[in-house]
Amino acid sequence: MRTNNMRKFVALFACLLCVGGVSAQSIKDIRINEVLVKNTDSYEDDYGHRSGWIELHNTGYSNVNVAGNYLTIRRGDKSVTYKIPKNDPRTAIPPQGYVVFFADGIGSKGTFYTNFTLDQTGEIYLLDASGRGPAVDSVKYSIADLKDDVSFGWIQESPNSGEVWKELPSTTPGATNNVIEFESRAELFRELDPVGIVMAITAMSVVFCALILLYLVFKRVGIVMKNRAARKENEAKGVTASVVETKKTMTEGPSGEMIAAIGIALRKYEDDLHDLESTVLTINRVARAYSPWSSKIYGLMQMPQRKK
Amino acid sequence: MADAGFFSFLGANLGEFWGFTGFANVTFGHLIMIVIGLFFIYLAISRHFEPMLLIPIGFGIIVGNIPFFPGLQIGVYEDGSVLNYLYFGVLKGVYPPLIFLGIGAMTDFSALISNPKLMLIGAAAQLGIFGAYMIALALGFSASEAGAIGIIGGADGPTAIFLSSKLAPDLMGAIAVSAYSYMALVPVIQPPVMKLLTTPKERVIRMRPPRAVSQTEKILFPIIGVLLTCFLVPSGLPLLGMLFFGNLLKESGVTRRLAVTASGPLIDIVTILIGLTVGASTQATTFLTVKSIGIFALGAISFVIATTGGVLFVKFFNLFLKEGNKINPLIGNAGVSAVPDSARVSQEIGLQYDKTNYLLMHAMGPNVAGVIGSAVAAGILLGFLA
Repeated sequence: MRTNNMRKFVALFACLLCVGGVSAQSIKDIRINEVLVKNTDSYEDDYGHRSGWIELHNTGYSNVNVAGNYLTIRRGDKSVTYKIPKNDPRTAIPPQGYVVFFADGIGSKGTFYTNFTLDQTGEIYLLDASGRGPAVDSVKYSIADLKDDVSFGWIQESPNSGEVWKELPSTTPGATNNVIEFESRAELFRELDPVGIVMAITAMSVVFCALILLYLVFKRVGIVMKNRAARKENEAKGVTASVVETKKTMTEGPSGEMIAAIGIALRKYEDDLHDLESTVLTINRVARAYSPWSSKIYGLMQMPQRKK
Repeated sequence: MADAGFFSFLGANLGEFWGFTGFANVTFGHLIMIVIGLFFIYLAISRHFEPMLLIPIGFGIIVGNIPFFPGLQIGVYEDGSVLNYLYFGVLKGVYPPLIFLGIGAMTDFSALISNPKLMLIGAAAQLGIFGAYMIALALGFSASEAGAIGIIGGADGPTAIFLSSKLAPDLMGAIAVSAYSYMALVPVIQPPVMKLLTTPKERVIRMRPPRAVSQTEKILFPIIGVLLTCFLVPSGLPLLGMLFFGNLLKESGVTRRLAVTASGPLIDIVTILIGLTVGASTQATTFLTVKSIGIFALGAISFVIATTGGVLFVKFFNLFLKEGNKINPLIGNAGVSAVPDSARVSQEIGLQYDKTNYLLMHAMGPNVAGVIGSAVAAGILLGFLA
């Protein structure tokens, strides 16, 4: 009993760990998507000022609230940390959404204004709510290498390539960095395979692979099950003759084909019986408890009768 | 004078009302579509061709082609209309996975588990999908459109709707109607191909009766099935995941109520919604196009190729099988999904040549494998072309 309880506890604990792991992973969907360090003639904040900014992007497909997490700038041994305030609904980044933090060094201007600036070479970190441990994402930059009003970010250079961190053709705060339109995957595929033969061969191979895998597994499972059944049968041979006789009758019963034949014959017979379904009249006997309240006789005027 | 004003006002009102009626807005296309809808209903009631599908689709075609004055939030394509809300489930691919859940909960995979090599027939019959894809490309359809049209060859209505809603939403009405029409016509399309490709000797091959399948195997099948197929083709997850989930509900033996709901009320509700809205989506303006004619032609061709692929594969497979283990090629057609109509065709044709050779149980194996195969194929097309 105690062991059983222990097992339940361990299972529950494991489940909780899994759930905890899943929820902690959501911040991992956030990345530093674009950074503009030297802002002289680019995006203005709500106060009409220009400062460096950091754009965060939710790469996942569920809302992620970044409140309580940290943006940190590290320069050598020194670091300044900005805790993203809680209780601001705007910190919940929608799926595939963006938020921009202005690094103007005045943290009291609002949720999206950090207490550090980007005017010196350093490394920006996005840290989870613990404020320690491995960074969720980080970006290193050197002031000397950067041009005015040119941002860096993740961008896809060609339709089939992954994204790379590089100088962007234009600043896109609060929006995707991939502003170059590519031909759709389907049309690119068509250009490479105009007849469709590659698709046919690939797809048929995959379909066959999937079903061959299932076939191999269930062939093996079938063998194991047959062996198990045979072993059980052998074990049963040791029991009383009457039991063996019963099993024999069961195993030597009608074959699958016979059952199918009987089934089909019965079905056909039943179909014939009800060939003209619309003419079958079914009368259901309906029993109703009598109640004077529902009796119409009390609502009718009685016919006058002559007394003799 | 006052009377003249009254009558002109009355006349203007009646004129305005007339402008809102179907009679004022009717076009020749609407009438053709209404006749098609009536024909579907006739086929369903009189010929018993897939009545569960053709009645809702047929009536949906009539509903969708009642002419009306645009902008009143009535039509299926008008934002905010009731039909538009119901159509959302089709447009976003919500209904097909729910139908697959029901199919899973009502499908017995025993025939397949007892003779797993029949799964390969289900794979071979998917040739129809890719044959139609290639022909569609040659006819000038875009790659996405060709993929959506090709899936008609999978002979699976929900899969066709699911894929076309993702790849070519504009063609979905024509593709869905084509898929369901040819599924209903399986008893007409398949027999000539089956007879043409088989010899009298092959048609009377007797297959070994399937062995009894244990409960453990039935429970393992959906679990192993979803793991193997979805790891290979994750894009097929909405369909395959729901199919195997439904089957686990049925076979686990402890979720009878859920299985009954999935295979009964749920699938009935979704079938009504999907049938009606797909039918209603075939408005004359979007449906009566040259492309639709091409789609219907390609649909028929894809069914023929799929049947050919299944039958020829069995003949090829038989070359490697020992005497006594051979497969009757008349069950090759059943690989095209269309459960259970194509298996029933195998049975009927088999009985024509041997009155005691019952192929139904054997044909159910490739038939349900076809469902898995077409869902995998849809996943591949989605992966490449979406």
